Amino acid sequence: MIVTALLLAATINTTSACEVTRTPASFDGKRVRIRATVISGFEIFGIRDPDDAQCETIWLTYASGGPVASTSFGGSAPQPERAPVRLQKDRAFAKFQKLLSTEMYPRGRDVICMSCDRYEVTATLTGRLDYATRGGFGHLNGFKTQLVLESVSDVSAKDVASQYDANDFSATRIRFPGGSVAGSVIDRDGRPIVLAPVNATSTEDVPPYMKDFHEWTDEKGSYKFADLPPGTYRIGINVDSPPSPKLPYATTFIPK
Amino acid sequence: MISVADRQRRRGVVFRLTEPLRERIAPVTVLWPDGKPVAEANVWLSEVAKPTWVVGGSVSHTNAEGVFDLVGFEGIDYFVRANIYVRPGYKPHCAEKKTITASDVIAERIVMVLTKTGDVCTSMQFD
Repeated sequence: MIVTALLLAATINTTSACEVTRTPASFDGKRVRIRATVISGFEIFGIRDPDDAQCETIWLTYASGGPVASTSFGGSAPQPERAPVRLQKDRAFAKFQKLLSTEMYPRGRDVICMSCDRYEVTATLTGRLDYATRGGFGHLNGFKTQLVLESVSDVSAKDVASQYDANDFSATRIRFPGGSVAGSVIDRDGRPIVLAPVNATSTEDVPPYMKDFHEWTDEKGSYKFADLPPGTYRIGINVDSPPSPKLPYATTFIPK
Repeated sequence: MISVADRQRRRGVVFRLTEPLRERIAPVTVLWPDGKPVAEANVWLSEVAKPTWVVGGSVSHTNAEGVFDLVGFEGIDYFVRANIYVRPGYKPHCAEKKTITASDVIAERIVMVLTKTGDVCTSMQFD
């Protein structure tokens, strides 16, 4: 009986994303191997069938995985306790990760992109399929199925750089003019003040996105504005927050 | 002003903070209209000059006796506020805000009675 269960667990069901999402219960808890395209963006990190975009998306999860731009809110789906899946971090996985994390570069400081993936990544993904009979997985628990990734192979990528507005984005990094200001916040005895809010506010007539910059002091009381647009600034503490027991000082600027 | 040029690295901009503000305790008691203490009520101070500035960045909670000692600073005018969301349904109840000016001497506990309820209590800046 135990041997049979182990054999079943070891068996890999080679299938498709469409098949899985059509009959998810039949794959629940099983190891599956799927050829799939990753959908990565704001509030989504999933996989879909590369041959049929109409099928439902499967949420994709793995330890320390997923592009930063994929944000998930809400609790996890109710599901039975399942053993963690060990991720195979081999060369194919490294390629998979690198492609997923490659982004387009904004051409201006005012260009904001929540998710600007450079590549559309397709791979053969192996892992355990979870099906939520109630609730769901991923962002706002909106996905009925998730794949807990075990390994990847046959990774390929389609360069989608041409789909971006060339006026706003570049495939190569663009350096903006800028300099840095660094220093520290200390008390009268010279002790560092940790987690003090420090602001750099431009004194010039600049667009809003170039007006205010914010940093916190570290455990040594040090702060650094690593990339300030050229110009003149007032550097201050407690500019956007009131004096508090942790930082009992009035708004203070340098120079005064 | 501190000027920054392209590729310039400015170091050693040090804030040496010499005079911390002196703390000023605002002891608060939160009560229901029938005089019973309100445990776990939210209480907070915000500056009159900048009402969205909550001192300490978050609310504090009263104990079983409805008591919490808020910490402000001398020389600053504050609003004192209190509210609670009652389960089930998390119906909000709140008190009229009170003002303590920089010159006020706080000799007694500040009693906040949760006389109001409904939408008026859902904003952090309710009056």
